[in-house]
Amino acid sequence: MNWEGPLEKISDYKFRIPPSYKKGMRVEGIIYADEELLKSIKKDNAPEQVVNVAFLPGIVKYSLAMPDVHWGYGFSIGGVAATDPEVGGVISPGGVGFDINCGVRLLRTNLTFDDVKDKITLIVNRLYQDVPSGVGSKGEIKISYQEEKKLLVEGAKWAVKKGLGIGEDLKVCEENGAIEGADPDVVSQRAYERGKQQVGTLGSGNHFLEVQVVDEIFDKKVAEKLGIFPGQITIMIHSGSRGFGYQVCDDYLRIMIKALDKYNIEVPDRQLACAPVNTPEARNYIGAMKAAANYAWCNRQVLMHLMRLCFEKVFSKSWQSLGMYLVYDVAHNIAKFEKHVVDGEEKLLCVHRKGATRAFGPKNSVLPPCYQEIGQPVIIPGDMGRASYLLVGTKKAEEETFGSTCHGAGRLKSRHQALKTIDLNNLMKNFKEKNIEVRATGKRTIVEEAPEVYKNIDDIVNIVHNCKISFKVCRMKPLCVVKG
Amino acid sequence: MLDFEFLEHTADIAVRVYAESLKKLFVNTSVAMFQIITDYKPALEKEQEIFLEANSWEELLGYWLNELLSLFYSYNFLPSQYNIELIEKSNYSLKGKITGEDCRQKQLDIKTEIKAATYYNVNIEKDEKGFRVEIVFDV
Repeated sequence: MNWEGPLEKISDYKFRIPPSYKKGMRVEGIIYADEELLKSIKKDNAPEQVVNVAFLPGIVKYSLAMPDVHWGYGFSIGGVAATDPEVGGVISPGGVGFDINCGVRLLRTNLTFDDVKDKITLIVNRLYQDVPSGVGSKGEIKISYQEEKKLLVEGAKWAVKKGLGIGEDLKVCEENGAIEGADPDVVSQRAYERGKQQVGTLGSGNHFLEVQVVDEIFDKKVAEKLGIFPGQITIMIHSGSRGFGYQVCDDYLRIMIKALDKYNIEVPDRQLACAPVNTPEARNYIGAMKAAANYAWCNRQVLMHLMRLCFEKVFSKSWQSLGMYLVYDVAHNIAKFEKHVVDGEEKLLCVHRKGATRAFGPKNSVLPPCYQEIGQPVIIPGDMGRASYLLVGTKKAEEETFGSTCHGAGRLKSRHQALKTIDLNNLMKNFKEKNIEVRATGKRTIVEEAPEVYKNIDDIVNIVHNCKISFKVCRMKPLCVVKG
Repeated sequence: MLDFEFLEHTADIAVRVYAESLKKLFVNTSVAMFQIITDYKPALEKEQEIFLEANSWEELLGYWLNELLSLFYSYNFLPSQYNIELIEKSNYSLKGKITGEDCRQKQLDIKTEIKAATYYNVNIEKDEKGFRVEIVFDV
């Protein structure tokens, strides 16, 4: 398959799909990529999904795709779209995805590579043993219905109140780890049921825990502000709202599909079902989506706590004395109400980020005081064999992409292709040669998530850096990885 | 006739499902879905009533698959026999009984976690050989 539609080059890193391409497009599509990357983007159906998003009522300016864009369902993965509620703008569960508030958090430590190089196996085995991972994994925390309701409102704070972290952790989370407006009463019994055993579990697929070493610093001044230095050990956690979020998304997709007729909305794909923001269907979805987002922040907080305990066991020191503090936590599957300037006028927009990261620049009032000067930390995981990045958001992103940037490397090969073409033994040998220790419940997951199924993260990050929608701070190389 | 085959999809898992009747298409799609999840063959020990309504067969198929996933993840119910009826009146509905096993106490070997069956480009086609549909599962 090769996408054959029109792509007009605007600049070295920006390509445009004109609204005349397909009847019904309300705005143009913009893809952030270079010529080389564009070749792989055109190989799957992602550009057509960028086009389909342009049909959404009330969409503002353009339907965007970040450079890690790839074929998803409904929205492409790497898609960003903002709608204006004042002119009938909609919210679409398909623009958020099933894993609501799937996201990443990064911890720094005061450990260096020399401190851990002989302990990598100990660390990875401890993480694999103590942090529940894999399909349908169940956590240590069992909660009642009443307790789950509280968790959905309090998010990460719920965990901190239980002693699983400290107040300072919350200050460096997007939305302080709990978005306002979560409504536990619009969540189905099924979602509660799926959520009650999964707090503090990693999940499966591309979710992971990773211990890394900082191998290159691009902006020394900003790195210092973030407490980052060369050779430092960092820790990354990638997980989301687990079965709770999947159920919320499905419950509301059904409601939104029914709402299409009611509000006379035509979309080219049922997965883009939506409702105007100011309708009961949308209001309820927003309340439930926020509840799922808070579930995810709580989940990542508990996972971080479990990781701190693992390090305490391995190093026989408190996590505080190991300097295991949170740098930041970002959501990359979410819809948020944010103020953005459109045609010189400030508007409250509904910004969908489906596989995209918020990237607000310096002096944005929603950022914590410690990041006012440098801008919002942006955490970009790569694949488990190459690297991940820490960047910061920019004013340019606020002006151009509704304050958004990429979220990862983006897949290149399907899982099916991976299983057909990649040999597990060779793969494990390669990890060994690179001194990377990998653990996973299923061997299949390791193959499906092999480095070569992803685009090269260096290429993706260089594009967002060169476009100035975020700036590189440092690169981290993996030392050990636990996959779900 | 082949019941189903896997297709290429960059991020997720896609299947093309075949059947000689629409009812069988619903059943085969469920069989394909649970085959992605686990190889375990559940016992016939628990019955579950089911009733769903939609505005089209395609929507109904999506509701059906997600309903089964939801029963599996919320209540550990793994289906293996389907006694269902499809009804077309002012809308499209499915009713009947499915039989399977409550796997709560089992340590199931799960191959892949399906988050949901998506509604992306679901289009049921019919020709002289029978029915055919493609489904993308979010994994």
